[in-house]
Amino acid sequence: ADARAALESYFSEVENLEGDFEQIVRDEDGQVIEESQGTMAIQRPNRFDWVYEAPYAQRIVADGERLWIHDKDLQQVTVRPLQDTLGTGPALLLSGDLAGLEEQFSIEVADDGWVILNPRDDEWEVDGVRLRMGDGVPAEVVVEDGLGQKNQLLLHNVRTNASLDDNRFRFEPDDDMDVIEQGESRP
Amino acid sequence: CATVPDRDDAEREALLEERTERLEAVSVWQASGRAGITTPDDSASLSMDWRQAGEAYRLDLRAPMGAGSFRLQGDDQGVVLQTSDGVTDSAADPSELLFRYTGFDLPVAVLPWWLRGVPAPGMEVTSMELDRQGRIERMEQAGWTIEYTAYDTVGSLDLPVRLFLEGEGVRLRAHIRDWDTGDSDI
Repeated sequence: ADARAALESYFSEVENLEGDFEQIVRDEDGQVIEESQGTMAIQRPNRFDWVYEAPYAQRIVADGERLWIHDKDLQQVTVRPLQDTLGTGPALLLSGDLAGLEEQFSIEVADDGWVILNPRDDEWEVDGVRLRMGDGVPAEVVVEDGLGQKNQLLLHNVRTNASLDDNRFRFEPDDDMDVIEQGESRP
Repeated sequence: CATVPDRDDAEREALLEERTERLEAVSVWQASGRAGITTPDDSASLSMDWRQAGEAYRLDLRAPMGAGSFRLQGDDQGVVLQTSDGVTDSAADPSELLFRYTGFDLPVAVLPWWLRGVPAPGMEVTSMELDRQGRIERMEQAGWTIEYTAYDTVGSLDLPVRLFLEGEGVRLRAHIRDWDTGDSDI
């Protein structure tokens, strides 16, 4: 089944997934400028829990309505409405649905089997997104931005359709956290 | 009874003086870590790299997953800004150029000194509090307030690990995870 069919079945059959991720950022000369890793979980639609463990500690949670970014190093939490956060890229991309994806991107499959996503408007601030399917889930996503930087996301040990605890996709700031709210719909 | 006099101000200032001179002898350095920038209508939590070689500097700020990243590269002659949505522009003043495209008003020209925990040269320091080792805890300069809440020893130099910068309508919180002071044996 070609990559497109695999992508379609991902969006129709995979309700949630969890696993480990590795993220490698290379500059325009291919030099690695940042490597991070951690754990991730996605619950469709529009919920994910992205926990960076190293080299910095950060947790990004989409709870279906809002996006929470807790940067432990900076002791700072920012929260904003989910719909105006296209910048989180792949995490959002993988937690939406195919119709939503096609609204944002024109989708084609290259001869090397990678799925090519071209943003329909520059709101996404990226030049191109490519993803490679593996075992029925996106195993690798590469985002290339206007700086020529390549942001490669690799998923490992992915388990799908497990019963995930809803609390995983909620964020409760502790009172000692500095919470910064952005965007129109302030609670 | 008189308590044991703490290191008095003159002594602390002398320590700062000495530290500043030793820092200025290091012309090639890099600071890497995280930067949280907040303005009334936007905030960003970014990976930060500041590279300096003499007058030349390069500031890379990367957002998670690429979008919202930008690079400022320049020296005392001028600066070029590149952004992840494909903008490339140049100007004489880095702060004005950065503000125009990102809405973040940051004192780029003096950051090389403030990041290292020393006052920028040739500008009035409105107030300054030093700790016992002559390191700045809090400083007001050029209309900005900078607080240093953690230092680390790199080689034989104390360099900031946590700092908080506040100006007109903008706050920058930085955590510097890694200092590289080049091969210069300080």
